[in-house]
Amino acid sequence: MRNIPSPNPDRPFLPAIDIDTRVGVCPHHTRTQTPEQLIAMLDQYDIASAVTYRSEARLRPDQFNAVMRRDAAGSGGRIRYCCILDPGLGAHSLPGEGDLRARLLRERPVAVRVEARSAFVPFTPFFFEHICCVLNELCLPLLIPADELDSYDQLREMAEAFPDMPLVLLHGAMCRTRALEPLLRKLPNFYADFGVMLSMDFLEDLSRAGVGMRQIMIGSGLPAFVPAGSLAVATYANIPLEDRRAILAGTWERLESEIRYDNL
Amino acid sequence: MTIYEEARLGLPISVPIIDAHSHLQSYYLHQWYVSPDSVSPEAYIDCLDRLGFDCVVTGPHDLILGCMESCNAYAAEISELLDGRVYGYIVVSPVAGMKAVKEQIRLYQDNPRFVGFGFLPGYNGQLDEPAYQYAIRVAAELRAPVEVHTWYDNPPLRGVARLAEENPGAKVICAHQGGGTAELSDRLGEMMREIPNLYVDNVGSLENTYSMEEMVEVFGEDRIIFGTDIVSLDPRFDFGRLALAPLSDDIKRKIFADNFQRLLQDSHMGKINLSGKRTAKCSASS
Repeated sequence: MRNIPSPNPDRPFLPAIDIDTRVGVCPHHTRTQTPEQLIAMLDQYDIASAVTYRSEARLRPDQFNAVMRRDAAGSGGRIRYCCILDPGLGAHSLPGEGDLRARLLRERPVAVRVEARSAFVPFTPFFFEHICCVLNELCLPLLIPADELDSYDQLREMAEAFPDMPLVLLHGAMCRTRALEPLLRKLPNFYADFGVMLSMDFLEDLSRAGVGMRQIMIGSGLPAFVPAGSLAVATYANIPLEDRRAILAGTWERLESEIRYDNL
Repeated sequence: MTIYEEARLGLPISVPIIDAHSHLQSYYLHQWYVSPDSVSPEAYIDCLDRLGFDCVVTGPHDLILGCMESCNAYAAEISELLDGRVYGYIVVSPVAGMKAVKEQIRLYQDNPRFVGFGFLPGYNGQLDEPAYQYAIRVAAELRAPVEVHTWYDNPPLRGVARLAEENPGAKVICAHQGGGTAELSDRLGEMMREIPNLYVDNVGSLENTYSMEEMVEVFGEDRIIFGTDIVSLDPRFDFGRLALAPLSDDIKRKIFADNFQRLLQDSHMGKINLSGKRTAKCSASS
């Protein structure tokens, strides 16, 4: 990854972390079948690293979460390990022995991703308590793709029920401006990427209102989508440099630094 | 510095850029939202300058409700106010009736700030309606570009292609990469190979899993017209997909401006003057 010299001090090169990527087998989307392909994509856009899960971990979570962990460990910091937790399997989504807390402490993912709607499980505290109580204790980010929700009100319910668990909405900003603003304003543990943030200058609106500038990140949806669009929304954002820096990488780095693996 | 490097730093792009698919004017129907601070003439110019756009060609989005006359009047007004930075499409809506359509075309076809036509079928009826058939014949006579909306095959892609096939003098630009999905892009790409006056724009590619470099493979680098849907959509998204794509700067230049300029070469409607990049002042503020 390069550091492109800039002639404009207000527009320096800013490192970026893509929080929504996957590797592995994915029908119709062959861009990132291997970690090497993912790293090549990151290089293409000068993206420093990516939060990544393994596609096949949705088939057999324990086996392929372990593969993802290994690949991330061997990536020289370019890939950050995100595990898939199946709401039915719970702790058994991760290899080894012990309860979910013990396995997470051993595996040390930087985030957990769940699928709700696909598994016919409503994304509510009632159905996710066994997972989210542990994530709440560990301050471990939970990633939920927008198409796994039945309603954006489920985000409010979950964020309120587990206030120390960063709840991160993926790929859900598209034309949801009116719902996103109150979620960002009222829920300090609610986060969102804007891989498809399409309401013009909504980012600038939020900045002027002092809302959400430490709660928004970039996520591409690789391999189905490429990072170019959301990257440009951030690099061209007409907001203070420090806010741009936070959106592109700083906020995710902070969330990772607040995970309580070593501080329980 | 390459176009990629400029974009990755968030600098205005230094090569010519024509946004040939825009909808200036505020618009809050259903889920659509634009910052209220972004819908003044000054804000338009500021946005274009920050990205490095020379100009936009606009058809205001009130057309969704069939408001043809007010849309054309606004396009005339804003293109005069922001001289050289905004051009217009004569928008056509069958909802208004044939008499009104003919009157609108007569009123604006010789206005040099109007460079083509805009159709919004799917919202305003289907392409076989007499008003669209009349307007496309006029466009063919004028050898003008016609930007035709389609989304998720409404109106059917086949109908958009037929419009071009039956009116070889017109340059039909099929909007939204053929309708928003990779599958529709593939279908349009096949049709474009058979129909030389059929073009495509990249606008609203939020759900299309093709990257820009893949779209170049499907459509060809000479047939893609650049646009962003500004202000209905944040222009930075589609702009970034091209500016940051792993394509040569020569290809990006074609898509950003050269391809659309080529469509205007033999047109009898208005032309776009690209000499005014970031020099045309907003007369609204003076």
